[in-house]
Amino acid sequence: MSNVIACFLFLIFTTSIFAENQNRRLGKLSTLDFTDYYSLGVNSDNFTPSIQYPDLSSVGAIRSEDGILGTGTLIAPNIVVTAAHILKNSSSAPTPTASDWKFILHANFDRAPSGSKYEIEKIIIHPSWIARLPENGGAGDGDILGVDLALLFLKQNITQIYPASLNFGDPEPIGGRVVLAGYGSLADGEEGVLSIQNDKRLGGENILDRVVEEVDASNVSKAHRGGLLAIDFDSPQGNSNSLGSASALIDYLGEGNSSSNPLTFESSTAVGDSGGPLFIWTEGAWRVVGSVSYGTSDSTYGDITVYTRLASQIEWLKSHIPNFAQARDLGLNGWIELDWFGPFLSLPNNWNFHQVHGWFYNSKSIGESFWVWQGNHLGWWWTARTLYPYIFSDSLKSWLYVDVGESTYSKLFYFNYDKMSWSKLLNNL
Amino acid sequence: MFIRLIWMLFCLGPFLLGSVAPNPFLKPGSNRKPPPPGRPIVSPKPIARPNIAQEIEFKGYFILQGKAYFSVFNKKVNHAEWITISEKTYEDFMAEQFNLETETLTIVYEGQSFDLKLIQSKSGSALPSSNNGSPLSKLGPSAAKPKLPQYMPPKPKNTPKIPAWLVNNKSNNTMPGSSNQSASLNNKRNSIPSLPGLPYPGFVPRRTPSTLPPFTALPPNNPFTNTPNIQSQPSNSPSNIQSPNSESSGNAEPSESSGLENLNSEIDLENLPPPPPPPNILPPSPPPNLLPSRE
Repeated sequence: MSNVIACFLFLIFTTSIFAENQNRRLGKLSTLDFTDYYSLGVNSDNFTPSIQYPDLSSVGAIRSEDGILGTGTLIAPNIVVTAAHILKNSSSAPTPTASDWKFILHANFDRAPSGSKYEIEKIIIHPSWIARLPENGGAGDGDILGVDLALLFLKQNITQIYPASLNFGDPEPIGGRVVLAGYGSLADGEEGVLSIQNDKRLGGENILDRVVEEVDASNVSKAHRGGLLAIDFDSPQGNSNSLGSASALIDYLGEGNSSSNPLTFESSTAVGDSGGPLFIWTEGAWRVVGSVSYGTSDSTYGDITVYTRLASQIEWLKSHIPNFAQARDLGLNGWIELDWFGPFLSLPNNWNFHQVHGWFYNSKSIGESFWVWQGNHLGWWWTARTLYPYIFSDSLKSWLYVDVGESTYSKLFYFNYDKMSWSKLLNNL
Repeated sequence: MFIRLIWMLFCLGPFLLGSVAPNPFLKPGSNRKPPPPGRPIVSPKPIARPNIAQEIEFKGYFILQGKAYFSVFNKKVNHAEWITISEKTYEDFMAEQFNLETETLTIVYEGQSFDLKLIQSKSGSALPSSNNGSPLSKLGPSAAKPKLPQYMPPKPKNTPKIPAWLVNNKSNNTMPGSSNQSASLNNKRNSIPSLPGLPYPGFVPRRTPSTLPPFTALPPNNPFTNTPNIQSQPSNSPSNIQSPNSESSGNAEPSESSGLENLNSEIDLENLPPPPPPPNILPPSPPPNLLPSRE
């Protein structure tokens, strides 16, 4: 008798493990298994960071003590951008307490070591989200207005991880390929959400179908109007093109076109992906351009994911993120590194020391482009991600090309395009 | 045997239940975010926070050897204290960051940040009323305070110690990334006539409200390292340091022959080919209106 019961228990046990493995993924094409979506989420196999795929190591899970799950993206060594509704979803919900939440930066938040779980110092919810919460019976309408944003300030810098770059430039290209990521539920285009349990970071791709720089909501104060981005979940049969031109208007997404063909790793979002990023390659880098706000169905084909457009809130974001936010903290007493400018020591008084340029002063830059001042004849000079090692010297009124390979802080080799000659600057301290 | 069976059921029971229930380790009912007890549904009010600005003042600051010091005055207890970034006063007001341009100090108190503007000199603003009897608004900061040039803090005197890994691993900067490559990435799909839109059942929030197990608590002594305490380290190697007299050397034309020439005697600047043409743009803005420190 006992053997029979033991066998029965074993059967249930193995079945539960099987079921659990089935339930640990998020929205995918029904024609594929989850392997590639998981590989993309951790940038393994064919998905290493490149011009084809963004580095998703800046994407983490946001969890509360009572089990609420969302996704967030590191945009500075100590700042995470996410969706406001994860933290406070209605006017009656309590004001979130920072100590109740954690940011877990790991490919599997359930198995993350304690060193990957970061405490929150403070939470800032977008003021327009708070202001709009009394609408709709207390549930707010900030989702459709593009103000569903919040920032989490960590108690300590996360080191060795490049924060995701933001988009400060042109509007995102409609029809551009985008990559999304999150820790949301398993979903299948045919079946929808199968289980809310998932602990892994998954990645997928889609096509950007809508870009709304500012919602057309004339009855709402301009201060409370943000922007939106949207993607739809196309089926292999091509019969679920929700954002096609013939579709009815949805909220403030406006009219537009959308192809009905899915990409190879077409993906949608599901419960738990809230706050998760939408990446697009623009201006020489993968940039996070959106944060998941809401969806229109249970993640079956035709589902539309609506993102809060970050570029529409760039001034609010800039007001909170620190100097050189895009640099990764090397964990070496102030040494940071921009992927395009290299490592340098950054002091709190805005003086910085670069191995090639020596001491330079910069008062405010996120790390995309900047003016710096040096106590030599170059004076103020300007450069940018897509330009370096070209620098423009305001004193010389000329573009210079820095020979980074041969230069050090004690001698700088550069080509002066005004004189059309190479020069060597000694004592570049 | 029966006891063994009970014991097995006891051990495996929660796990088995976990295959259908979200988490066996949660308290019953803890999978839902509990509503705030007794909290009426009312319009949200601004987050309540103590009015720190009325309690403390940012009285002044100075920068010494690259380190900034701030005077924070607590009016309640009539106590002022000089602190640096990441340092706390006796009353636990911590200086988080300082914006030199706006002379605004961000103070953290009980987990919340407050921006304090530098207190302006009262003698400067206590001007007599204007002859035409105009209101005091004319005596606002822009009227009473002449536009003074802003200065950078002094440049650090020493050369910091470069981490060992960096010395032989100089940044491998390549030519600028070309943004036009993005076009090739934009895998535009062929336009296919679209079908009528699918039903739109309304918005579905994408957070998990829910039934997942709570995270494991971090160790209580997780250190708070808001801003690393950065110390420039003077190098002891004279061959590694040029004179820090940057003001004099700074305005000099680039030297092409000096005692250091032999360090790069293999580089023949005259015969180096020119690099590719420069960008056909100009900086989008003029340089900041900041002057070097008068030191």
